[in-house]
Order: sequence, then structure tokens, then C-alpha cells
Amino acid sequence: MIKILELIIGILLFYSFIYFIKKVSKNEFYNKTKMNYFIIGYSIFYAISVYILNPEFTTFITFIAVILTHKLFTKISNKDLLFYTIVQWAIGIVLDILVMNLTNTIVEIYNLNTKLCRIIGSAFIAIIYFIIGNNKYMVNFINKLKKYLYNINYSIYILLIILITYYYLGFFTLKNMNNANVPIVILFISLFLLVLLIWYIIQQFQIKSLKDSIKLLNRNNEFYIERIDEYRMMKHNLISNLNGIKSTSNKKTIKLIDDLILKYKEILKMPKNFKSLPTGINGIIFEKIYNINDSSFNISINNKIKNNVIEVLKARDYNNFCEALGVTLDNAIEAAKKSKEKILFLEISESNNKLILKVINSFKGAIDIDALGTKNYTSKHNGNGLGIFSILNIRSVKLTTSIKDNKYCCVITVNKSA
Amino acid sequence: MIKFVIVEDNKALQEQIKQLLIKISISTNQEYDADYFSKYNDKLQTEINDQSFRKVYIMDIELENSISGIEIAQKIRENDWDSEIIFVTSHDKMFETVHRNILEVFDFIEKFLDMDKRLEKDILKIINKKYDNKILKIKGNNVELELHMKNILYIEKEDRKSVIHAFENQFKTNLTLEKLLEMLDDRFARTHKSCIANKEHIVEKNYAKGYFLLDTGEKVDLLSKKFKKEIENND
Repeated sequence: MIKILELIIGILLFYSFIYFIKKVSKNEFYNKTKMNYFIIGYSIFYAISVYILNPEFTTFITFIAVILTHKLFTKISNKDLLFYTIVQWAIGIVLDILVMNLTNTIVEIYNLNTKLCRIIGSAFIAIIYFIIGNNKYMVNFINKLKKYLYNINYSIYILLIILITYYYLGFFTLKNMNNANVPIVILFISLFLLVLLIWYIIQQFQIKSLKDSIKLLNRNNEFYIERIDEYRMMKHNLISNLNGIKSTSNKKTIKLIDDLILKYKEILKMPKNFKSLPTGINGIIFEKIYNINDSSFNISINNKIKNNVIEVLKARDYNNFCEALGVTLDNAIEAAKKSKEKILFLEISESNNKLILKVINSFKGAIDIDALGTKNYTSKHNGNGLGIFSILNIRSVKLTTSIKDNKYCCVITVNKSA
Repeated sequence: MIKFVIVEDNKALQEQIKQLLIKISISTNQEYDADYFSKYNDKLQTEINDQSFRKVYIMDIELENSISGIEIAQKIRENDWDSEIIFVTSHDKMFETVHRNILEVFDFIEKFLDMDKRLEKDILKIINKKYDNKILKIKGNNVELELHMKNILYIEKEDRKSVIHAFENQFKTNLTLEKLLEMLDDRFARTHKSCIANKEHIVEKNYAKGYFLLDTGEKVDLLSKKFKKEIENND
């Protein structure tokens, strides 16, 4: 009779395990007919093991059967299944120790049938599983814990270690059931380990979250710096391009462009009498030179182009040329200002198929010849290191730079339109 | 022997320069050769291309039916930085300053203001000038650096870079001091494990206190007794 009860309770426990995992993992069974056959098959096997084999073996069979049922008849992932099995075992061990300890005490006090008391205890454990599976707070807590754990690298290995530890702990508990003190000690150790584990998982999760936040902030920061650089380049190029358009425009358009330039450049010293502004490339050069305001400057400008530059270049190349001219002249003027000789030499010439701009200036200071032209390298105090870098990135414009003692020379070459 | 190349479209002025050269040659006992051109042509270009002689170009800036003297100077400087260029001109000072620097023009002489005296003085200076046009060339990622060795004061190690100190500027390079020393001539010596100095610019050495003084007045605390032999040997 007791054996039949043991069998029924064993199968009930098995159902409670499956039910618990199904509820917390929120997975539905498919192919229920096959699953029923599987459970019947398991029950028969379990019955044989109860009657013939030892209890340790029945525990192992249940463990395998629960995993197989979920693996074969739900779409649960291996990792999830491992996690929920561990949780189920963790709860099982705590409950088992508590119930077994209680039944041992009751048996001792009231001199009752030990096996019957244990069967009642097992039934109680199965009921607890059904209750936990239906408790949304417990289900949420377990799933939150899963989320935390999954955020830790190598969490799957932690799960495996816990699983093996629990299996041996449970095995050990069953073997020492007759000694009343052992389950109590194991209970406290298990509870302590559980709390410690949960605390560890939460801590790791927070560290991971912080690392992720820092990573995100760094990424945002890099993105922000890139955008700022792009904005600076765009602003500078836009002004150069506008100057280029201005150099070929009528008076009204010039006024409109100047208004636009002022929007992008707060302090812009410009000649107010637009009638005196030369047209073409000379106009751009004039505007740049106008800002110098230094009588000790030694300037030589030689524009050898007989036609208007826009007539020998494609529109896009003209814009690129103006952009390169703007950057090069700005750099040259700024560098020459700081030098003793204050020399600025500018020459625009043409060969059969090329337009050549040569800017030579004196300079004073330190230059890193390996870093020059790379992004963000600047030899100026207030520079952003984008000027030469941006010219080097214009495909249609070829920039060659050289330094001869204290003279810095830039040669910009653009192909003429066919 | 020095070769003079005169580019002047005014025949009278050409003759005046010719006489002056004869006079200088006699007084200095200096052998010379001279070619005269009135404009830029293929022959002049051949002359420019031929760099077998040390030359002195005496040129007018404004040339009739030809490209200007400045443009001829640019053609000369495309390959030849050793020859001297003297301009006989009437251009303003700003123009003169820029081209003196950019094209390394020896002098600009006003045509009608003591031209003979100035030209004679300049030619004598050129004859007596010590030629030192050795250049240190370093190629960076996007720039090529050419420094006259005479303009280099010292090179020191700073972090992982070598910093070349010239008169006005400093140039940082990834080249090691060992590599740089190989590229330089024997006027340079190691003064310290982190420094190479141009001995021609050193005016005082104090091994006890570990510094040397440069002719620019700069004091460099990178002098080691370990390199004394190396520094003093070639002095």
C-alpha cells in the first residue's frame, strides 16, 4: 500500500515539476498525445524503479524525465531549461529539507509511520510547486533573476556548476536523512548559498549595466566628436564655397551670400564697399588678405590665369578649389602672422590640363611631420586639425606639402575641365 | 670657376655688367665664364638645366618679349638651390622681401642707384662665400621636410619622438636619434644619450654641470661626459 502511495506521490511530484517549469518559462506544450505517452512511459519506468531500484536512482530518473519532457514537447531553449531546472531544484532542496526535518520531528514526537509521513510531506512539496507556478510575483521574480543572470558573461557555466552542486547536495541529503541535524545544517547552507547567489547575480548585473552604460556613453561621445568635426569642416567649407559662388555673382547675390556667411561666422571683417571687390579667385584672395591688417606683412600674389578660373574648371572642381584655397590661405596667413619674416607668397598658374595653386608662407613653431595632415592634428593653439585633413579628403584636389627650413609650401593641383 | 648667366634686355646694361665682371676677375684673380641672354629661350633653359657649374644669375625682372625674371628664377629653383640669383630691378620693397625669401634671391639691386658698386660687392661676397648647402631630408606622412644642416641647432629625444631644433622652428619626427645621426654629416655629434648637437653652433661646453651653450644664447642641459671623446674628437 505504502509502495503504491509512494508511486502516486512520485508521479504527482513529477507533474508538479513539469507544471512549475511550464508556468515560470511561459512555454506551451505541443503534441500533447505524444507527451502523454511519454509521461505514461516514464510512470511505468518510475514504478519499476520504486519497487526495484533505490531512491537515489528514482531522483535521477525524475531529473532526466523533467528535462526531456520540456525539451521534446516545448520550444524552450537549452539555456532556459537549464536555468528553470536549477531553480526547481533549488526550491525542491529547501522544501525537502524543511519538510523532511518537520516529518522526522513529528514522527519522533507522535511515534507515527515514518514512510507515510514522508509521503504526506512529498505531497505537500508538490502542492507548493503548483502554488509557486501560479504565483505571478514568484514567476516574475524568477524571470527577473534569469534576466540578471543572462547579462553576466559565462552565466551558462555558473548555471552548470550550480546544477551539479545541487544534485550532489540533494543526493547527500537523501543519504543522511536519518540524522536530524544534517538536514538543518544543509538547509542553512543552502539558504545562505541561495541568498549569496542571488546577491552575486544582482551585483554582476549592475556592474554589467554600468559597463554597458559607459560603453554607450563613450560611443555617444565619439559620435558627438565626429559630428562636431563634421560640422566644423562643413562650416568652413560652406564659407569657402559661398566665397567661391560670391566670386562669380552679381551685387545682389553677393549681398545675399554675405548675409549667409555672417550667420556662420560671427566675426567676419569684410570690405563694406562691394564695388571694390575683384571678381573671380582674386575676390576670394582679396577677402582673405583684407583681414590681415598688418603693415609688416610681406605679401606677393601672382595670378597667372588669363581666363576666369570658373571657365577652366568644372563647377564642382571650382567649389573644391575655392574650399582648398580658403583653408590653405587661412592656415598660411595665421602661420605667417606668428613668424618673424611674415611672408606670404601665392601663385596661381596653369599647365595644359591642370590648375596649380602654390602658397608659401613663413612660420614659427613646432610641427610634427608625421602627424601633419592627420585628423585632429594641429600646430595651432586654437586649431581643430581639420583643415589640411579635409583638403586631403577631396578627391579632385591633390595637395602636396613641403617644408624648407622656415617656409611652408602647399601646392594644390586640380584637373581642368576637358 | 664661377659661371655668370646674365639675362638683361638692355644691351647697354649688359655691357656695363660685362665690364664689371672683367674688373672683378682681374682684381680677384678668379676665373669665370659668362653667358648673356636678352630673353628666356631654349638656350637659357638648357643653361638652367645644366648644373655642372656653380652659377650666379644676374637678371632683370621686366624683360621684353619674354617671361619675367621672377619666372625664370622659379624655373631655376625647380631643381637648383645652389646657384645665386641677383635681380637688377626697380620693384618695391614688399615684392623684394617675399622673393628674396621664397626664391632665395641673393640681392635686389636698383638699376639706377649705384648699381656697379652694389653688384661688385655682391659678387665679391658670393666668391668668398663658404658654400654649405647640405640638406637633411625627411619624409613625413603628408609632408616632406628639407632642412639646411647649418640651420639645425640640436636634436633631442622627447617621449618617442625626435625633436629637431632649428633657428625658429622645431620639427618632430618618428626617426630615432641613431637614424638621424646617420643622415647628418660630421658637424653633428652625440652630446647625450637623448641629444645630438651641431658642434658649429656650440659656443661653450660644461661637462661638470652637464650643459652646452649655443650661439643663439640657448642653454641645453644635455651634455654627458660619456660622449666627450666623440664631441671633442672632431672639433
